[in-house]
Amino acid sequence: MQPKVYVSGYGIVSSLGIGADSNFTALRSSESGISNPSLLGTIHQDMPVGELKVSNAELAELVGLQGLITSRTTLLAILAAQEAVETAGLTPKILDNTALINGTSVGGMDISEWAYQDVLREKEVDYIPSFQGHDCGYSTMKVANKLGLKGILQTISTACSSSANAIMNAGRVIKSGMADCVIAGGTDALSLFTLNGFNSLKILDQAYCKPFDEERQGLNLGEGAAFLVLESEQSLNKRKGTALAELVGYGNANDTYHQTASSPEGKGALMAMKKALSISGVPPEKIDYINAHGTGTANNDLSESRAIKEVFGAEVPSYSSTKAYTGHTLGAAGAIEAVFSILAIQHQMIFPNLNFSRSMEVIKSPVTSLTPMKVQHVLSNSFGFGGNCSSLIFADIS
Amino acid sequence: MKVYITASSAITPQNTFDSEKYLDVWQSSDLPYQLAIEPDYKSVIDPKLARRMSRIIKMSVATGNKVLAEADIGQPDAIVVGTGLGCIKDTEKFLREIINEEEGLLSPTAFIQSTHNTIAGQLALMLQCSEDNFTYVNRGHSFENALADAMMRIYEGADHVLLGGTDEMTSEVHNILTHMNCGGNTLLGEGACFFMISNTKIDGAVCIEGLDTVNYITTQQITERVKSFLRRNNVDTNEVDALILGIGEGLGDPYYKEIIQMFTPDIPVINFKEVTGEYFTASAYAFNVGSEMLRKQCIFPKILISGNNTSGLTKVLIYNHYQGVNHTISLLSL
Repeated sequence: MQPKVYVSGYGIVSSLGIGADSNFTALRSSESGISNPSLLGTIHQDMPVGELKVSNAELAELVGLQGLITSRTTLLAILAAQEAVETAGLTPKILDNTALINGTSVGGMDISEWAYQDVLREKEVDYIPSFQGHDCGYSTMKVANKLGLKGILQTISTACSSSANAIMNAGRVIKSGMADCVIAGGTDALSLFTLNGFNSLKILDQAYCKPFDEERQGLNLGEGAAFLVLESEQSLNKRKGTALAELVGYGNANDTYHQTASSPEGKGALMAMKKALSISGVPPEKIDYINAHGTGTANNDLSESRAIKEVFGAEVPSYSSTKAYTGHTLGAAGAIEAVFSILAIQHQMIFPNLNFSRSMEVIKSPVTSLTPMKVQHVLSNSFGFGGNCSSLIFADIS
Repeated sequence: MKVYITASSAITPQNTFDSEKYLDVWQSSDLPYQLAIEPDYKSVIDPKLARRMSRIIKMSVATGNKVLAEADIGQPDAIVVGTGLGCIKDTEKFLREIINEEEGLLSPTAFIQSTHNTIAGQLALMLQCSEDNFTYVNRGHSFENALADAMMRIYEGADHVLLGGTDEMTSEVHNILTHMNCGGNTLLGEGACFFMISNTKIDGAVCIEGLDTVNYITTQQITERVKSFLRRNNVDTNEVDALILGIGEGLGDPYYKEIIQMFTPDIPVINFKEVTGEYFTASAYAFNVGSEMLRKQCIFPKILISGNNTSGLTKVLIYNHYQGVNHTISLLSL
């Protein structure tokens, strides 16, 4: 019998606020975190984004790193990971053996993109603080150092599925016996690089994004971080911790279609969902809710809808995309939506797909209002550039 | 269960891609960093595809393709890549465009190619391989993360995993890293090393007996760490036939000194960074040269810094550290 993998804590920071409570409050009251950027120094001041209205200086103060140049990606990660550790009640002794698996798409780009302007303009640059956090692994190291983690460290960068893959890997290392307790999730701050990148691809909605709407125009970019504490049954029992949910399935597949576009039929998405269902042993009809990737782009929502139809046939479960709340948080999206999936299980309610008005032909409409219902199993999808598709399944254990 | 390297290919700043000429004619260069010697790609990559690929993608696809052909595997069970900085040339290019155009109208090409997982994604696309596809970006343990994943996949039941460690250098990145003193005394470098990791021993396969990674360890602790690694793998220090170390120009480096002192004074000591220079995934090459040494029963004189081999090679120990923070210990055997 395969060992079980439990979720015993989580932490989250998004444009909905710092901490699980403020995120849950916003989700429950259909309050979106999308606004015009006021902290990101972009010329695209009218481009809506999911920006946390807390400055780097304030974030640094919250995590005790004031006065240092630290990437926002790292600051968000530390905040979310600290909350995860606190809610799980991990002691320093446990942390000493705890692994960290972090997913991020652009790491410390938010700092290096400004420093690089100075390099190009031949201004004086303080190189070490400006660029030491550029690579993705830096944020992982800083979180580990801050929390005193001495177990396995992994950093994954598979674009928008990075943190879903981090959670998947936590499941794999726990099942293999390589670790008993893993903090897994991901982080990404808004940056000029990603905002202009998605803008150059012409897939940003100039207004609030409307996932799964027939007239959807694109995505809104967001930022944030989320981490789960995942543990083996043995670890949980030994330290008398409490399980909040179980990670029962995960699947990773490559769409093998195009570097940035999804295949029309959603081949990778279909395979990832099927793999996750197969590992979980949960039949498709037992999935109560899908937290869809649902970015709001014409391409993603169509191929994801087709893949969902293919997996679930006539009985498509209730589904929604929460990206109209947070924006697309790239490397953090999988972990942020994993937290939302667990909140749905804990509170037995599903969160609405905001800004929806007209349904697509290919699939039934998403859930558009807060819906209390039985939520036993949640499927959460994350798809990224490079054809990376990942699905996670969480189960209620109460 | 044992894990084997059944094929291996490397593009580095020395001749390593062409097996016939492996480390035979030594290249010296006046460049401020070690530039990889790129092969004529026509024989390994479809020229139509190669035209659209950046250097890091070409180096990775060429070594990846060579490994697939050598192992005669059409579809691996997973593609796992480690890279410290990913597609940094396209990242730099797009960033420069944003700055120069002041966030105006931009072509998406460089952005599209800039994501770290473009390498593994491109391989999946070319092979039409829909299986698990992972990219690790963990500083001096980027390749080690990928290797540990590949090994875990063999334990999970996979037959063959395509594994790579790859990084590219540009003059701008070199400039920035030099200001940050990232290489120490060692020249910075670049390269791509790919491997087929398999569950069965075929002719010429090299076994990866174990892998240990640790961060922030002191020079006092390192020998104990290596000893317990060897104990776990039931290997006595006198059974190790050669050391493959990432010394670079750091001959006075206390970590490497401590390791060398654990063994008899005449043990062959190989300095693999002589070939690669220093970069986040340089250690991937240690596994390539280790495999070559075991398969060919050969100590490459250009990278031998002390000792000599008299009794044949069956077990070689790999040790590397990145800036004294990320330490790697592994053992290869024939």
